[in-house]
Amino acid sequence: MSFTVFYAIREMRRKPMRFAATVLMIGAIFFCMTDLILLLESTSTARALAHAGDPTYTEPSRFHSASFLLLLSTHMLLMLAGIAILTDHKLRHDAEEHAVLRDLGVTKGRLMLLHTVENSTAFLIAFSLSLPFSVWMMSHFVLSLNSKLQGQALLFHIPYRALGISSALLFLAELLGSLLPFVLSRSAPIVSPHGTWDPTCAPLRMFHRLCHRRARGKRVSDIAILFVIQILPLIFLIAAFSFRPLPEPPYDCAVHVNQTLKQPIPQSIPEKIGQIEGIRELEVFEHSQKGYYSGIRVKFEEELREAGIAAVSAITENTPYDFIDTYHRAQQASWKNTAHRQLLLLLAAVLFGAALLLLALILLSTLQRHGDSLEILYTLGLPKREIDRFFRRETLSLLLCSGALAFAIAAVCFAAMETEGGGTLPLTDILAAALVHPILQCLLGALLSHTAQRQFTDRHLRHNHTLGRE
Amino acid sequence: MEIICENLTKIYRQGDREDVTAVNDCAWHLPTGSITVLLGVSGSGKSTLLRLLGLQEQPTSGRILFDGEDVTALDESARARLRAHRIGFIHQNYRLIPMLSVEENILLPRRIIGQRCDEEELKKLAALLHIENKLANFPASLSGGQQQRVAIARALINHPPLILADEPTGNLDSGTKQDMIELFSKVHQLYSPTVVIVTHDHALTAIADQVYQMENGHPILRTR
Ligand SMILES: Nc1ncnc2c1ncn2[C@@H]1O[C@H](COP(=O)(O)OP(=O)(O)OP(=O)(O)O)[C@@H](O)[C@H]1O
Ligand SMILES: [Mg+2]
Repeated sequence: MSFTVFYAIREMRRKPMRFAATVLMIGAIFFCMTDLILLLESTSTARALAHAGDPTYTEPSRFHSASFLLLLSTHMLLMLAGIAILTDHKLRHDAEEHAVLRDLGVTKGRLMLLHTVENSTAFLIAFSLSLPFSVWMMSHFVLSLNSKLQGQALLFHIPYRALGISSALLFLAELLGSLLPFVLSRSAPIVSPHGTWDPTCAPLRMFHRLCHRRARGKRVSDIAILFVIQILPLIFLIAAFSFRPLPEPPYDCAVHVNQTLKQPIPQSIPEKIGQIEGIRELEVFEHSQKGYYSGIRVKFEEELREAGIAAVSAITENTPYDFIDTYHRAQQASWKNTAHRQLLLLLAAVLFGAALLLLALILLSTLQRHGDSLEILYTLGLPKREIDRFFRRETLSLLLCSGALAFAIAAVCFAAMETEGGGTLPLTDILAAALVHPILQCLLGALLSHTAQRQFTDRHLRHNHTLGRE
Repeated sequence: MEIICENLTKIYRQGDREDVTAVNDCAWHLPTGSITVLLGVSGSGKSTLLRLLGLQEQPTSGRILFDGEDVTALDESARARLRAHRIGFIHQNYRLIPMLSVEENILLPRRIIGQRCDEEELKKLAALLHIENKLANFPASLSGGQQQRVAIARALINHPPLILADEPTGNLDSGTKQDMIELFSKVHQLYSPTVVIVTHDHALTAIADQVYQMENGHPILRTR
């Protein structure tokens, strides 16, 4: 086995958590981005469907496409920045070990290769995880384009051009995201003689410095990662909650007069429709807000709906009047809505789990790092009381962070409840969503910091004990 | 391997702070197969000189010749190959790789040059260094002295013709230290590499062919 493969495999095996965390994290960033787009697309689909056959329904505007593309590019930039931070983080971790390898005579070329293998594996896995999403987007684009070409009503509220551009952009972002670690490690000398990672190219160096600037004893990159960890599941939750069952369709089916005819619907048709069994409401409308529109909207009794719609369709057959069946489409859309919502909730749950895991990892490494310096301070005579206070402070800051998160989630949930069409979420669901994660996070933090504190005490008691024996 | 240093100088430039001249106009000759001990007060530039010889850093000026070949003029990959094939380096602070086991750490130089290692050889070396029952451990679970011995084993595994040791006995008790001194002379009898040992420990001068003292940034021959 070649040295590079050997070392890369060891790395993944000995640090599986870190590896898994990287994959999870990047995968989550990809997911998050694609899902936001899907969310936007499907809520607007739902809206479009609810309005199908509604003459006041307008084609998607330029503004809509522009804001959609803006959102997409913001997410792309966010994602790339996230990946850059992660890569920087990882390169810094690796620098010391790679300096040793360099001193042992590993050539620069092989170190580069090692870098690429180590860093790209996680990213490639995340890439392949997210690929189905961009393929999905592309299929939407094709569908949309197809309906446009055949002159049918738009299936999606997002114009096919925007869909096309965005799916191409998405694919590009995924590709870039996977290549970024490779590019980053290429544009930097692998390691400086003293085992630090110092990029040569100026913008990268600035980025690196920014990542490593210390803010209140913590690295900016650590804070950024913590932030992303907290924010990712939240986005999914928001996404899930913004799906509401579609409002009851205003009518079950409608008959429209073709716009080119420019004349009211003949009296005979509403009369014929009126004789159908099970009619609850029948409305003949006519207006000329934007061009001339006229038609009939019908609502049936629940149990006679299917038969009624079939009867209307039979009446309008072979006439110049368009028959529009909202019932089936609306039904389908609301099904899609719930399925999508469940998927989002599931993803949010998985991500919450992953967030907890990552949080634990970061906490552990922070505590470890602090533990080492605390140990030195302890041997230098820092009283135990101070050390306990330190651990308490760590727990407290975590608590505050969780509290803020709980508040944010609760606010989102209540906002979702308050807006139109809301009230569909039971209060218990909202409270659970708002509280479970922060509570778990608090517990985890308290547990970890308590364990670290105990371990610290144990080590010192043991240490003192052996000292005493000697 | 014969080593010659000509006008070797290393200056650390530190931006706005004052530059540090760690090695200053050093001329040095290490005959093939010699054991050289380098003494000197802390901060006198011993480790720096050793790192220059180990091709881990480039001098600010001057040349280093390995068997007459100017190695300071070589490009980075040629220098890396030399490090892998011809130099065994024992660092002052061990520098083991924490995620690799002791055995993997020791065999790392072998892997780098793409060679297999026979078990026998590893066992023999480990036994010589009294770490034969630690091979499956990870560095974090070893004592300082044990880590030091692993670092020594790693430097010796490829039988390099140049061995550079930075305080190799710094963390060892007098018994193990004696073993280590014997090990160096045993290795020396085996294939007579050129050895440079940086140390504060005068016991090591017993096996030295020549003893130098680092003063004003260059080594000065001491008469014993
Ligand atoms: N990377 C560096 N950047 C700046 N100055 C350095 C660097 N490395 C070493 N020095 C300086 O060079 C001088 C020589 O250091 P060196 O490590 O060679 O000393 P030493 O003789 O090995 O000391 P010791 O016996 O304590 O190990 C010191 O003043 C040190 O501060
Ligand atoms: Mg030194």
